[in-house]
Amino acid sequence: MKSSSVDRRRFLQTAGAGLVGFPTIIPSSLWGGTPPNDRITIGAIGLGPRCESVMKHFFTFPDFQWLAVCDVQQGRLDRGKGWVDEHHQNRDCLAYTDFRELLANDKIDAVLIATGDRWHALASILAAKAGKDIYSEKPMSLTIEEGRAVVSAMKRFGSVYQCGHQRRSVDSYRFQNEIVRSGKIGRVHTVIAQNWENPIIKPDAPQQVPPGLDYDMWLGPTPYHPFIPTRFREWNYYWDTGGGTLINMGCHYTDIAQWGFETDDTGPVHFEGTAEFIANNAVDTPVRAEVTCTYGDGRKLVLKSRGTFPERYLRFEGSEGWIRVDDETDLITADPPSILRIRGSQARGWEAAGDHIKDFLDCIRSRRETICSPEKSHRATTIGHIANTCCRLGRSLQWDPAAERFVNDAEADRTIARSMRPPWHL
Amino acid sequence: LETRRSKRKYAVIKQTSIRAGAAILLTLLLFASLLQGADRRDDIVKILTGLQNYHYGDDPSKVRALEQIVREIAREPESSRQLEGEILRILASDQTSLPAKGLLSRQLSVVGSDQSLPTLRSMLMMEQTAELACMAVRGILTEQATLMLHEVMEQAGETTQVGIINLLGERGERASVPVLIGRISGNSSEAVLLSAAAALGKIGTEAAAKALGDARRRSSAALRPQLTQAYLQCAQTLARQGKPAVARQIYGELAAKQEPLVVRRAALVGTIELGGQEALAEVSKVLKGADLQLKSVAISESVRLKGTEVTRQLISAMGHLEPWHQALLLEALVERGDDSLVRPVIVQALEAEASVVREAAIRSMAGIGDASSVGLLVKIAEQGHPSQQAALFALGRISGPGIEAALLESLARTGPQLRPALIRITEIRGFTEAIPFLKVQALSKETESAVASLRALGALAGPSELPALLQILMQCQDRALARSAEAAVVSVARKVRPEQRPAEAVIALLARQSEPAVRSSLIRVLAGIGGERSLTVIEQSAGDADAEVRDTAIREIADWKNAEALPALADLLAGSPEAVHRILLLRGFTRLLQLPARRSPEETLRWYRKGLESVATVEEKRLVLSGLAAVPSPGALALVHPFLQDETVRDEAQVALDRIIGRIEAQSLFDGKTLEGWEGDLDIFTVEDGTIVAGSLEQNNPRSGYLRTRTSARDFELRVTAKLAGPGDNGGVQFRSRYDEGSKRMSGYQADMGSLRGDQPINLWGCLYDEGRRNKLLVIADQEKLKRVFKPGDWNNMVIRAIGKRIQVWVNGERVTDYVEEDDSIWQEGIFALQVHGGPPCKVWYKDIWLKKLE
Repeated sequence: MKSSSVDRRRFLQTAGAGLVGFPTIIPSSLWGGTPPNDRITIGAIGLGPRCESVMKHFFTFPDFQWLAVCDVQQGRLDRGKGWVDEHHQNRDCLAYTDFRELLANDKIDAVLIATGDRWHALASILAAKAGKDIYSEKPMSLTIEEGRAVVSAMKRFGSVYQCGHQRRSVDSYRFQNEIVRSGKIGRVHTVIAQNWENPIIKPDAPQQVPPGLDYDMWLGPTPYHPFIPTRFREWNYYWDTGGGTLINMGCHYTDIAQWGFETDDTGPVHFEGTAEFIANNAVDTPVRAEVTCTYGDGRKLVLKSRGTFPERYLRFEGSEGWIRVDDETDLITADPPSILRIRGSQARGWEAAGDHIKDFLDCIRSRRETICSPEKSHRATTIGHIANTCCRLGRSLQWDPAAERFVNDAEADRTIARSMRPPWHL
Repeated sequence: LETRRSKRKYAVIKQTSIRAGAAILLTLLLFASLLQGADRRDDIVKILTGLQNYHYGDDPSKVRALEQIVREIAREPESSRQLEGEILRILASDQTSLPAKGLLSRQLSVVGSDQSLPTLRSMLMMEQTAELACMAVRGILTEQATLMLHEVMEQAGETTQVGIINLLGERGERASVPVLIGRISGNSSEAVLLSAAAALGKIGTEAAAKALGDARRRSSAALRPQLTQAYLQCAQTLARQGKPAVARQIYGELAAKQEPLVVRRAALVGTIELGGQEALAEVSKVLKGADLQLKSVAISESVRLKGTEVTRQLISAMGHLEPWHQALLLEALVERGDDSLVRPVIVQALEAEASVVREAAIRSMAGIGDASSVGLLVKIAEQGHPSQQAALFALGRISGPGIEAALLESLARTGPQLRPALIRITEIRGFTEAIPFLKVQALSKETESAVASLRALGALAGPSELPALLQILMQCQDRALARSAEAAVVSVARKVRPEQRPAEAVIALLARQSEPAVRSSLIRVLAGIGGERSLTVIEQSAGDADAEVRDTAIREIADWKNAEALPALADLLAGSPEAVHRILLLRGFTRLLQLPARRSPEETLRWYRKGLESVATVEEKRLVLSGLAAVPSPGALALVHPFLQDETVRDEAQVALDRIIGRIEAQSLFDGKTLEGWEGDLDIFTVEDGTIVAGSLEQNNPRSGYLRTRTSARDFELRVTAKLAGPGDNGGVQFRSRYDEGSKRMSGYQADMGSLRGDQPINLWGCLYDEGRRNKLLVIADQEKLKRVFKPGDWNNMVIRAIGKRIQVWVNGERVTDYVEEDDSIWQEGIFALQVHGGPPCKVWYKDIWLKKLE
């Protein structure tokens, strides 16, 4: 086990939670001068279902004072303002349709970014420039270049950034990781990450942009495309606006794999696999795919995109056993079975983002690095991006994690970045 | 010729998949021809030309085909250039639609080269296509491309100019710097100026830094924040390029008091990142200053500065900080690894006045403490709340030589208050040297310590300790303690394979004991050890003269872990035990029968039959019914059926029945393609589009037609989906029916479908008609429910269930008929048949026909 200073700090902060419990280390009243400064003021950008779910967990912390919400869809904006007003029992929540105006509000300390993938990196960078701390939903970027730009912007402005890879903070995966690191399944050689498969969608003609939607802002930096309802709803599965489940769900799993492998500052070097595209599918990501990512020392991470949503799981395999977490049911299975005698097989599951938010909150106050720091999250997300490139180019790839370039492969290098629709730029 | 051609095709495909490394499966025939090589160029032209008129929402297979071509040939330089040429030809054409140009530009971003520049140049000049051209040029990282962008920028409109400037920023070429400086110092529009500033920041030459600094100083307040951001970006880029001097100067300028907090924070982080004396001086300055936010940043970032001198300076700043930052600094100090310098500071902080500092210091001991710290931490823990938790945390984690010995010493010395917690720590630390101490402590009068010791022994001790643990168990006076001792014995015994567990030793011990409490203890231990021998002994004890021993034995058998206890349970149940034990045993019995096992369903049912013999009360009946519900066998139905007559458990019996039927496997009567398995009016019934169709909408049907199964059934559930149309709509499903070859007549029950028109119309779906026998409607389906669920003119689902004399029909999930045959002369077994009624035009469709035999 590596023993960098960051590890030592982390160890002191979080280790042993399951062994000898100890109280919260940072009493909120110690921060700042006057009592009102005690609370972190926060706004939300992007008010879809994911925001609703995460915000509920934020609401359990009285330390956050919600000041504003923002969305390009009027209906969502009204709904989001409703959540906050109900939470604070007033009508004070500000509602913006342009997130730049929200960022310009000096009273706001932090933002929750839960837009579509196309905005994650850019909104995070602009928020950092405005001096905010950031909790951004995953995946943190649409391209590798975007991810690197987020890392450097967070560094540049000294912002606290937590990526929504909340599985690092949830019971089931934390336990899995402890088991892996303690050597109970021997030397780990393989991680299998099962995501669901991408949909088949019928082609559909463009329609009038519905009233109450700022479509130009919705598109943001992505290439212009007329409004097509299926594409608008399922943006997740189109290259222009997302990357399918290999990145969307995959980044959670690559994050946990990197954690277990202790490769948080690097990544695999070889990628190969298979992808299935369907000819008459409006969706341009592969319907099914399987990409094997091999690290320099031969360890493998297998990303699968197949099957249905509830079938997703993450499995570590070692020389002396394995441990698997089923995401849908939060059920842990393992071999040798004695592992499960340490605790039951039922865990608190992936949705419980509370500890992840707690970590964000503690770091806002201490200015420390979060558990899903920009660098770690970028490295994890990069794996998903390269797996996608592997599918798009239809061939195996060699990656140099130090240079963050492909090895003698100008064609693949071109997928590292994309141009942005003016005026947007990183 | 055919053979040669296909061989060649095979070879090429194989070669492609090896080269590609990723097999691409596409359901488009076109690709097969693509791979044949000779006609490749024609195919490319065909696909590209086909795309020329592409519009959003068109058949996407053409687009997928284009992507596939790029995948296949982009890596071969020659074919790639060829493909690029073809793409450019289509892109340049006036005939090509804008959406098609979008698709092609996306591909050009992968295959584009200098060859593309003239076309992209003209696309950049047009507002409509400028964005697409930017997309394509993003990947072409040649000098010519940069030059082209510089040139076009002079002539382009504002939006395009911004797009180009952004591209130049990403490309990061020094050659662009003069052009961009022109844009921030001239009379550019705001948008152009700001994007040029950002681009200069990214390219980051010294000239860029100077220009940005000047622009920032003379800028309006409105533009200043964005120019400052570009300036900071420039400093970061310069630092990465190994030019710390300029970067340091920029950070120094931006650290000024009048700058906003975010800028000062960025300047501080930047300065620290550059390292050196300047960084350390800056950290010290901030720590001794007044700005609370910057202090947190300085502490957190100080981890990046290496060396003992830094550690010393940080320590010297401690006195200037208020408690919260002291606590943060303590943790940052521990991370530095200069343990000999830091340890005294931590030890001193253990006495600090502010609890936040004290606790941070205590917790830090986990990382920095050594054997000598153990006594100290124990002393803190002994003082109780609030520092106890932090001290125990540190004691659980502290590492180094001698820790274990020091801990053992403290264990012996500390009082009854803290001892249980320290024992728990030995357990967490896996400290096996503590076992002798724990064995003594297990018999201590301090109950809490004894319980904790027994628990720790269960976790730490190996099988060699079993005799000693059994001895402890025999000596336990206290009942609660005895339970802990039992758990410890079982936990240790279970660490070895079943056959190596000490069942015999325990049995021998049991034989020598007379005290009921002790014998009960040993029985529980035996049950924990498991195995057939243990089971036999416990079963004998179930007939013991002593009530406590009897009770323990029965409970353990009822709780047995696996099916080997079934015979014992059945025997005990048959021996008419008292009420409480009956329920416990029956509960165990049904539980074991529901565990996954290799037993056949028949064998499971034999056990249930045995269990049922002794069932008396309502609760007992419920238990058995809930167990039977899990057996997927018609035999289980037969066992459940009598309970439908039993008022007290009728509902449970019904639920069990539904569950069993739900679990029984269905067989399909229709393969979706042929009428295999069917006989009868094959001139009337045909298969179309996966459904069985009969009748006509154009003319009257001359007579009723029947499509019969060869399968015959008495008790069953049949599912079918059907649709009817026409003014004479009438069909139905015969069951328990007979067909007479002589008279060609069908007779038996029919679950009807269709509608009866007239003054009092009836929806016939689900009605029971007695065809060719009593020739009357036996029961009219619930019309209210039908109104709710029936979908006129559409597919409707019907389920017929017949068990014994009871016949039930569901339509779309709603039970509309529940009929009991009271005439004993009516036969109850026979074949099935699908009907189309003779008379006015009527057409019927049947599909998804599934049968579950329930007998």
